[in-house]
Amino acid sequence: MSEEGKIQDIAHISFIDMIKTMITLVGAASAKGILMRNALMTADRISEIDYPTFNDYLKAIENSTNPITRIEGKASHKGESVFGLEKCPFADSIKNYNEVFQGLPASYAEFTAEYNKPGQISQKYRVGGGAGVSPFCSVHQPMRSAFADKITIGGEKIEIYQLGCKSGSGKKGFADEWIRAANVPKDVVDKVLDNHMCCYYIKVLD
Amino acid sequence: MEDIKEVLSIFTRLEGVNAVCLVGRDGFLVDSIVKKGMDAEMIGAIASGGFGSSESMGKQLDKGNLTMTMLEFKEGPVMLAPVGDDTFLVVAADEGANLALIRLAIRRHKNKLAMATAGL
Repeated sequence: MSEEGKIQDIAHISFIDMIKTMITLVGAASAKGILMRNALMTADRISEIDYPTFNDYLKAIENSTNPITRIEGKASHKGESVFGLEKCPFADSIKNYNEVFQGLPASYAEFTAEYNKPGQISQKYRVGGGAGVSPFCSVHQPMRSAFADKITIGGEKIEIYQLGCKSGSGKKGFADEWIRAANVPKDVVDKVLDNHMCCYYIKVLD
Repeated sequence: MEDIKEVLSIFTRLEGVNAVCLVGRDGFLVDSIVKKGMDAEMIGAIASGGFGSSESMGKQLDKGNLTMTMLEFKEGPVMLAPVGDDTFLVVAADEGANLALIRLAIRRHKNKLAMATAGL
């Protein structure tokens, strides 16, 4: 009896290898900058939207009309404006890649360390700082924070603080600076990450 | 500690220099003085790729740390030089600019820039 192979998605495989190639050709710092810039440019193209109340914002997550939900999936509100995302939006890419190559490229560790270093963009968008667990975080986290720049609640601007993230292997990363700035207890973030891959806080500015 | 802009202005006072940018290794601009009409943000983003690939080339050829890269164009040179661990300098000049003076200025002032950016 012949064995059936599983057909993988070439977009997933080539995107992951493209990052690896970028790291080799231009170094981890420049590759990180390219991915972050790309994420910010994507966010810049979305339309501005206002939700009259925080509940309307939450409803928009439920019905998937919220622009952030449309790129990352449904996050759940854990109370006190802390959100948990159950599935990493790059999970399928990672899974597909792992099925072919049994492990992400080795140079991803260098990239992730670079992403977690303080930098002007990570400071501006309150991302990284320990909450990066893979290069995909350098796409996802800044993009989400930049999307937030296009969203208002009751006419007030919002800011997103990346609090933590969890890798596929279960290792948790915490952004201590943003956890402190958001005034969220670290054990709350830790608990959210028990059942979620990503944890962030939304601050409504007034 | 000297102000970054102050140090950058030393370069633009050199004859023929029309752009000087201090750029994070990730390509995001720290500060710049450029001729009107130049997009310093874009210069930084593109230069980061060039700087990074020069460093990778050195690594591949086992040449040690990068000290400077110069790109020669018909209308003048562009020089890239590391400043500390996290930034680099881009100096663009017109054809005929005194390269020796620019090199000397880079050598002389890069430590001041590195110190000025250390606390950012």
